[in-house]
Amino acid sequence: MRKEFIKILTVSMIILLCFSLAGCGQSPSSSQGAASGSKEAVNPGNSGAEPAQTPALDYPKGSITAICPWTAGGSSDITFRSYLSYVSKEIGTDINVLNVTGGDGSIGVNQALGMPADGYTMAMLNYDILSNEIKGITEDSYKDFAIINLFTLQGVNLVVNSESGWETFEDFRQAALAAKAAGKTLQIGVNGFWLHAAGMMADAAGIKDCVVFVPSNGSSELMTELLGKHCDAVTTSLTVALPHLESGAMKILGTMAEERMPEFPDIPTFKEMGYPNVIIAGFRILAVHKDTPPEIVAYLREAGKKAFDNPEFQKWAGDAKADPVYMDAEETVKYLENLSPTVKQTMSNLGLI
Amino acid sequence: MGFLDGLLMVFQLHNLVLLVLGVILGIIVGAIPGLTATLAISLLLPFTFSLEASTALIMLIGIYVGGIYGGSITAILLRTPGTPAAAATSLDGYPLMQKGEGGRALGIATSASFFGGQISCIFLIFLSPFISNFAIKFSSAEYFALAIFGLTIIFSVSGKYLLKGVIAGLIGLVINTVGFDVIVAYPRFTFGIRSLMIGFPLLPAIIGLFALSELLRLFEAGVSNDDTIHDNVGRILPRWSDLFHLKWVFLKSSLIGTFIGALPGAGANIASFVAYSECKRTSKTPELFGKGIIDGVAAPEAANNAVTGGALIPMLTLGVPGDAVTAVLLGALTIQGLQPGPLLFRDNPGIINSIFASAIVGNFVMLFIGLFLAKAIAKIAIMKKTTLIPIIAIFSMIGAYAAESSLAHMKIAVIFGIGGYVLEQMDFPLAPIALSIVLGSLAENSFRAALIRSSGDWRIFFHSAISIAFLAIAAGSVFFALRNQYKASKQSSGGVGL
Amino acid sequence: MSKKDTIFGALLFLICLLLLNETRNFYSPPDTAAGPALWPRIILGLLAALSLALMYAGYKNTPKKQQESQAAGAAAGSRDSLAKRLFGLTPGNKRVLAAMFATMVFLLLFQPLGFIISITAYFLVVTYILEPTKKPKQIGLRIIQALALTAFIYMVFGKGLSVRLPAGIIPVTWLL
Repeated sequence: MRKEFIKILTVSMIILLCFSLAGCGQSPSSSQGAASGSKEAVNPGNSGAEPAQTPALDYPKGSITAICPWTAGGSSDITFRSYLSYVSKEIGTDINVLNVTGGDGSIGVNQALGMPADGYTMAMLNYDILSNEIKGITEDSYKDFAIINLFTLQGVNLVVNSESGWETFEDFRQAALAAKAAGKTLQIGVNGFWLHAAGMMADAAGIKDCVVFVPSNGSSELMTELLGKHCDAVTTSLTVALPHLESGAMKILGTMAEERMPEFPDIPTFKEMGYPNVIIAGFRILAVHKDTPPEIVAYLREAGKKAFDNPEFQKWAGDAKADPVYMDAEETVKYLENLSPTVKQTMSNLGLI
Repeated sequence: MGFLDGLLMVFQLHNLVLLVLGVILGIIVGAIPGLTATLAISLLLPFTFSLEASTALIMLIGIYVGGIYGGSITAILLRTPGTPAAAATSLDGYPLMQKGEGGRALGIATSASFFGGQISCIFLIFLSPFISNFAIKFSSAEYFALAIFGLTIIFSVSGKYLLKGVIAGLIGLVINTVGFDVIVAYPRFTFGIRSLMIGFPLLPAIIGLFALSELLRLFEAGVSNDDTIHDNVGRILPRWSDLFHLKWVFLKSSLIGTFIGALPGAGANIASFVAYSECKRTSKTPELFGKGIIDGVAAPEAANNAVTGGALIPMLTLGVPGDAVTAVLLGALTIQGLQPGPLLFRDNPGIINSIFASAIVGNFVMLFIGLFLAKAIAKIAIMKKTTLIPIIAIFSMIGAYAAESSLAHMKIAVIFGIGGYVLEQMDFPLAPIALSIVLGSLAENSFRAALIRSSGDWRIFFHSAISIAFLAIAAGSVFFALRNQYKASKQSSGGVGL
Repeated sequence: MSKKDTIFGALLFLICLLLLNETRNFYSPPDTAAGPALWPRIILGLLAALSLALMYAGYKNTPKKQQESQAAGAAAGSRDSLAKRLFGLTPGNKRVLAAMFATMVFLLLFQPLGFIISITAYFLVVTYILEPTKKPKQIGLRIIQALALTAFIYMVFGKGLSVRLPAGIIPVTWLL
């Protein structure tokens, strides 16, 4: 039996070793590895960056939790984690991301609001904060949060297969009208909130009756749908479509962003094409509970701005095509206030409310 | 020549160390109920920020290969599948263990995993464009047909209680509809209870159904002094005769796994069940399945590890992940500033070659570590029952809790554990429930997407040869299952032997 | 197949009806070809039909004698048979019930008490259910095992995978 015991002990040691080695990688944000907790707060300055410190403020004393309402490893999660690692450098403490998924983002948001408003719980807000409230699924609203800042704004594009022969959005529109005259429909692949974007576009272009919106299980499945010609067009972000745009298999007919994309300066916006209301984007916002002490909020806003301006973050976001855009709290609230009625109108047009 | 460069890259000392470490870590994470390769890779992602692109990928692929294999160890030893992909392995692996042939099952599982992994790598390297061209032929109607084909496996895993098996499968499908409907994004069957909005996630449900319900059975059986679950696991190194006997099972299951892995909508969970059922269907001794037969261990294990190579195919050729793990790997590539997809072969052949090489070397590492480590881990099974049972219970519950630090997930595992125990007491098989929870959302979402696409025309399911073929095989297997059942019940004195 | 199946089939049938009724409350866009209620209705319809089949099979396959005696038992007064059933629990049944109860309590106390106390206590209670003992040596050994397990869980999950284990009333920072 003694031999067995030693063997078990050996295996346990290997396991522990593996996890402790892996554990070192958990938080590149904290300069000195995994040692979070009480020890960490003593020397927040060791990350190289000058912490934005107000002398009177006794914050942060320990590690901070940031709730991501989407699954670990998804594009929202990756971008959020990356941005937070730079925020964490500014404030000199660990920020641990916790994925709380389900209910189209509403579960995570609700959990964040249930935590004490002490600045030790952050949350990421996305488009669903608007749509879930409009649907009446949840009472939680962006107004329950003190916005730190917006850090990405991802434009939506209408993408088609290059073999379709359509060169402009007008070609697509005519094809849709022709399809209707022939008793058929064009199929636009959608996923999640991109359904709203597609609906908004079809409505404005007067082709709502000529298209059907085919749901899909994820943005990457939209790509195979389009490559396999199961759909005539898809609405999606640049990130997933980029490799196929570069290889020439797909082509963008128009972007629903406010301005042309820097990567594709030749692609017109829907606004330019005469549809001024077709402006929609997926956003990511960092926020804390609205009852958080104002000096902590102010401190975090300063840190958030510095983190965004960090050239390393800018480089990463550029490489990863994460569409970094900064809006301070005031601008963000104004943006959401403007967007909310549009979202409501679109959803009601789509029969979603 | 390019591939040799990749090999040289992998054999650089720091890369090799990270690969071995990755495989070990993957095996451990895979073996712990509740922790999956997806989770491990997600959690390790921030660590790869600081690594060179190829080094990061080499390590992550090591975790992937090890993680899918690791689930089989606990599935065989304790009927506690470490990952949902190993649920099918426990169907025959655990009975083998009870017969005192646990070591043999472990050896077969390890070599099957190795074989499946290598076959899929060969496909990955030589036939990627061909397979990805086939994969994009799949749309909603084809996915629905595939899901229905998968669901007919219920008929082959139900054992002697066919009616109860089908009922269990339908219960699983109903369970799947609780929570958020992804298409219109409204809650269903939540009765206004917020905690029901998350529905019943796969991982805690599988942990509950298999691990916790089995523990309750052990409670019922009780322990006597110094009682261990098994006295002996026996020799682990597989015999040549076993391997020779299984050669076609290995090959067929590897092909199934590679192909299902290459489909963006289906992964290792589905592949292992499909391979199990296919193996049983074509076996000369189907009646031995479920009672402990090595074919029943080899098929799902070869298939789920073949998924690793298969799932990399669309990721590398189309920039579309083949399963949940490759979705995260795709994120890792993006973090590194690489653009996965058709141009990766042209712009970064070095990365591609190191991915190929690390998958192949990773499988060898898995084979050796598997055969060595399995022996050590198998010793767990000879711990005293009194100590072992609470340990598994605690690991299972903390494992369910871990992914989202969520008490709700832990509660779901316990509810499924108790429910599974009660159903099993009433002779309801549990595998159909697990299967339909795995396949349910694919079936429903593609069903509705297809109908929306065709504006409600049901003929869409018969438009392509692929969907017709799947539906025909499904209908055929249901027919034969019912016929066999009818024959059997006629023989047994005319009673309705449902 | 027995009377139990008939009862279970009936119960399942009722649940199906209840859920089918609930599908009428699902929100559905007005002109969709396949709304949220379509799939659940198909599945629930099939399940309802099969639960009737189960009821029938259970009834038909219950041996006549058993049917009669069960009917008689029910007629003679359910209190008697209920009491009999309660006291007729085997030691195995009792252990299962005790384990279920212990697990429920664990779920309730995991958050408020923290993982250290709840895991240690759960381990001790469950080992006691499996193998009651009064020997101090045995109990001491189990306490050591429980603490070692808790430490191991903390290392693997808390440290290695940065899972947030609830600290409860013992702040973890004391330990390090």
